Amino acid sequence: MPVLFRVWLGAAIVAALAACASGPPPAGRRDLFEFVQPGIPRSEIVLRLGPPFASFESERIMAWSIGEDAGGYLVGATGYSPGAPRRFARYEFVVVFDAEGRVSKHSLVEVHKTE
Amino acid sequence: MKGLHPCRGVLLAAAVLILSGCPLPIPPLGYSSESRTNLTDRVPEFIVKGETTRERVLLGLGVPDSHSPDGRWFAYRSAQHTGGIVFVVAAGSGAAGAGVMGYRERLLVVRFDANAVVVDATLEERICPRGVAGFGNEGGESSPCLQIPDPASAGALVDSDAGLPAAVYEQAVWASGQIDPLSAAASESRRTGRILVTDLGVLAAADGDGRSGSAEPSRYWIPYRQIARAGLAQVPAGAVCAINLKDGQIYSAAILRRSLPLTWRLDGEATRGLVERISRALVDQAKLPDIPNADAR
Repeated sequence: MPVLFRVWLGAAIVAALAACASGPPPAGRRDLFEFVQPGIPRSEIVLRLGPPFASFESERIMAWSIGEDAGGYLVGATGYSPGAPRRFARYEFVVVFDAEGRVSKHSLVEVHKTE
Repeated sequence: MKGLHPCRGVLLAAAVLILSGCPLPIPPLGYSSESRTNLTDRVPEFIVKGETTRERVLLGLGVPDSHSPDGRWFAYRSAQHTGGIVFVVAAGSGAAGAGVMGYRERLLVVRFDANAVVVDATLEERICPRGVAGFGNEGGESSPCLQIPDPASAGALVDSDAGLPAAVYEQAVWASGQIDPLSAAASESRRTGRILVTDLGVLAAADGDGRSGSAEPSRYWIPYRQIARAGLAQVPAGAVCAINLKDGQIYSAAILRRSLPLTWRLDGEATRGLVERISRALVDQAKLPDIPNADAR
């Protein structure tokens, strides 16, 4: 077997193993919430983050479950039924809207700190 | 580990303990992904009775583990595994085990008034031993010590250590048979207790141990919203809440028209005023107009 071919084969195997060992690129973003500013309409929040997993007071207050990976924050898909067991992501992003449906306050709450 | 019948679990645990050899200590595992970690051993300082709003509680603690449909109470719970011990037996190709796990459980209940302002916040912490048993792929664990209120229940039992709702409008002393038309004339062993009309519902409590030798609760909490759910829509303004007592215990709540004979059984001004108050609260809760009662007594 030619030396060049052996080198190529070795490199291909290493590359294939490396591809198997590494997962998909991180989907999280550190700037996920930067667009959330007072006055932003509720529709834009929902368009960007998806539907909230919980809402209160006729959707005046909404909450999203937020996970984290190497890239930053990402919106988690979680079911929520009051009183039923649930799985916690690390954070919950709570947004309060004013009477016109625009952001008035928001908070990123760490509800499940990883030990 | 869920799904093991309790009796089967006990038998299995007993058998395993008798036959087992060495115990296997389980180190503290901390919080599972099914528990929040943001509860401390006291009510958060930012929650101030009469000041803090519901939105502030949500912004500070996140979405509660349970809440009433009308948002009048929020419940937050955490459970931290603190270690345990398991006896494991290997037999053939299978294995069985039983033991005890310790959990530090916390339950924070925050109640709000009609304006979404905190009226009461209580935090309870307990070290809770939970029995575990498993055989093969089946297993079970006993329930947590601190149960969160079930928003779907017909009437949640108030824990004997829990505080009362913040605002108590009226209260009256009752004796068994005083209100219940079915047992009014047949209460040989009269028991006494209190009924409190609060901002959130009706609380009935029996004096003494309140157990009457039965599994009935000694304190029973009936939120207005649950009473309303029973049929206020079918019984508009002018209705009253009937609390039926049996052997000194409340066993049901209902809404009845004042024209029904039930209210004729009421005895004494205090009790009559109590029912008036309940009636007003129910009407307020349902946002129905309080039409003057045509069926005057």
